[in-house]
Amino acid sequence: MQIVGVAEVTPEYNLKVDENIKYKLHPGEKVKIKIEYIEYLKEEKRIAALEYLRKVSHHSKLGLFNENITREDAHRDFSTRI
Amino acid sequence: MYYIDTNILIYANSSESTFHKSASKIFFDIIERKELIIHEIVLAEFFAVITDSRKMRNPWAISQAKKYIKKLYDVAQELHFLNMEILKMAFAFTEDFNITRYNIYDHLLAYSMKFFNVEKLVTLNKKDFEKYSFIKEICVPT
Repeated sequence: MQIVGVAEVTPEYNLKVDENIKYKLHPGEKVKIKIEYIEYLKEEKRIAALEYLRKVSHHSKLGLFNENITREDAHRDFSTRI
Repeated sequence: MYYIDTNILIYANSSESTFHKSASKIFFDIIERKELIIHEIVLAEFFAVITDSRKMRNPWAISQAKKYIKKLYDVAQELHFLNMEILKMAFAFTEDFNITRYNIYDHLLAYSMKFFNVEKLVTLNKKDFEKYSFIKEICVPT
C-alpha cells in the first residue's frame, strides 16, 4: 500500500500527518516513510547565521602562537594525565 | 557535500593568519552552496582550541565559542555523530593504517565519511587523509 501525504515535524520531533491520511493509520502501526522534500523553514535563520559567521571571521584575531595548528593541539593537555 | 576539518574553522577565524583568506573563502563558499557537513569531533576540537590561552594570545570567551557553534548548527546542512557502526569499522582498520595517538581522530573522521557516503573533505592536513581511498577529494586552501 502506498499513501502520499504531507507530515509536519512537531517540536518533539514527532510527525503530525494530514487529516486526509490520518484515518488510514492506526496508533502503534509501523510505517515506512520516504522523505521527498523538506520545506526549509530555517532559511532566514541560516542567512542571519551566515552573516554573523562572516563578521566574526573578518574581525577575529586569535594571535596563534604556532601558525601550524594540528589535531594534537585540540587534545594535548599537560595539566592532566589520561 | 563536504566535511570541514577543525583547522579550517580555526584559520577562518584568525584574520591575521597566512591561511585566513584561503580558508575562509572555501569555508564560506561551501556554506553558500549549502554543502557543509559538521562532525561532532570537529566541533569539540574547535571549542577546545579556540578557548585555549596556551594556543593563542586572544582566545575566545566560552560564551563567544558557544554562540559561534550555535550559528554553525544553523548553516550546516547536516551534523554528523559517531555511532557503533563507525567505531566498529574504524577500529577494525587501526592496524592496517598504523593508527596511534591523536591520529585516531583523523581515522574516526575518515570512517564517518565512509559511513555517511561523504567523499569530499577540506583540510590543511592533507597527508593524513590521502591514505583513505574512499575519500575522493581533499581540498587544501593554499
